[in-house]
Amino acid sequence: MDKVTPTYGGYSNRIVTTESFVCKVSEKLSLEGVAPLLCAGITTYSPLRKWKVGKGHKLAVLGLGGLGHMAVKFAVAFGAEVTVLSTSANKEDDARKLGAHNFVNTKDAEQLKKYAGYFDFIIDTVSAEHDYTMYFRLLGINGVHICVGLPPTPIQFSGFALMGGNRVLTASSIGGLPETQEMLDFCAEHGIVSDVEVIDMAYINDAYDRILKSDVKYRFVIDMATL
Amino acid sequence: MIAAKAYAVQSATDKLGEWSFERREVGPSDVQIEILYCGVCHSDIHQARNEWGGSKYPMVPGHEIVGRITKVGADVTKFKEGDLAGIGCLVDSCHECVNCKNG
Ligand SMILES: [Zn+2]
Repeated sequence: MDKVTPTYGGYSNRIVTTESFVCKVSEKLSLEGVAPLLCAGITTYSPLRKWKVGKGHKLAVLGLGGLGHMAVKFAVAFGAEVTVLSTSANKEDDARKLGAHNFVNTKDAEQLKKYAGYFDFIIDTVSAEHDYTMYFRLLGINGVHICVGLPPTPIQFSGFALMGGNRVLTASSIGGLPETQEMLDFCAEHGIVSDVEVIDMAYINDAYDRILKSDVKYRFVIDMATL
Repeated sequence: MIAAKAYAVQSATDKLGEWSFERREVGPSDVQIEILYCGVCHSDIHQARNEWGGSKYPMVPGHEIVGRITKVGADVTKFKEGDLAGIGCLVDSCHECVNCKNG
């Protein structure tokens, strides 16, 4: 880079960048569904790979938005038993359509009780404040709670709920370039893309309003031909 | 310099609107990409509104980029004109999305 021209992002018709920052994209996938893989995809793929989530594991996905829906797709593709945990009971159909095996309405104490100590992993995509202690108790011995979303304020929880089952709390942020390429190749091989709503560029301010209300399944993607 | 169009915000309280600017020339190890689709991440909103601090304006958000390569520099080995390409959060100085946490 020339260190002079600032880097402007992707709401644009063209971009110039160093080849080392660019990944190869397969012609096989729908391109609008590929775009969110570059952030939402790698953010969820990376920790699932790092913790070697796969066959025989029970994994819960907390929150069913842009990150959560990709976590479901990847965890299912890796062979895990996947349960979506959500505060909205009406997301059950969506969760199952994405391939989730189970659904738990976290506002229903009876349902939660059934899953005490049940999971090997929780992928937590929630960026609003929430009750970590309650979710730790859904993890089995040595269970791992992985945050890919975090609230803006410091988080609070009962340390005993971690200590009780030798549980692990960890967090993960995107992934490196080689792993991003690996993820894109995996998606091409397994036909995985993000579920998107394609929008015109001029709709972007309305799209922001809807994102803040979680009113999108599951990612807006701008068709740059409309710019 | 290469003329480009975008949607940008001019300040933390601005709405996104059309903006013309220039991309840098294609250097020896650079590629030029015509962007076909760009995903909208929650962190775009945080950055546009300077909710994490450090935002510079004008700002063109967007780090879920898919497009087609239209030009390659002399030293580029991995790509040729016409290839599909993806660009994510890790671009040159733009590491904002290390904090990209929202669905
Ligand atoms: Zn992002």
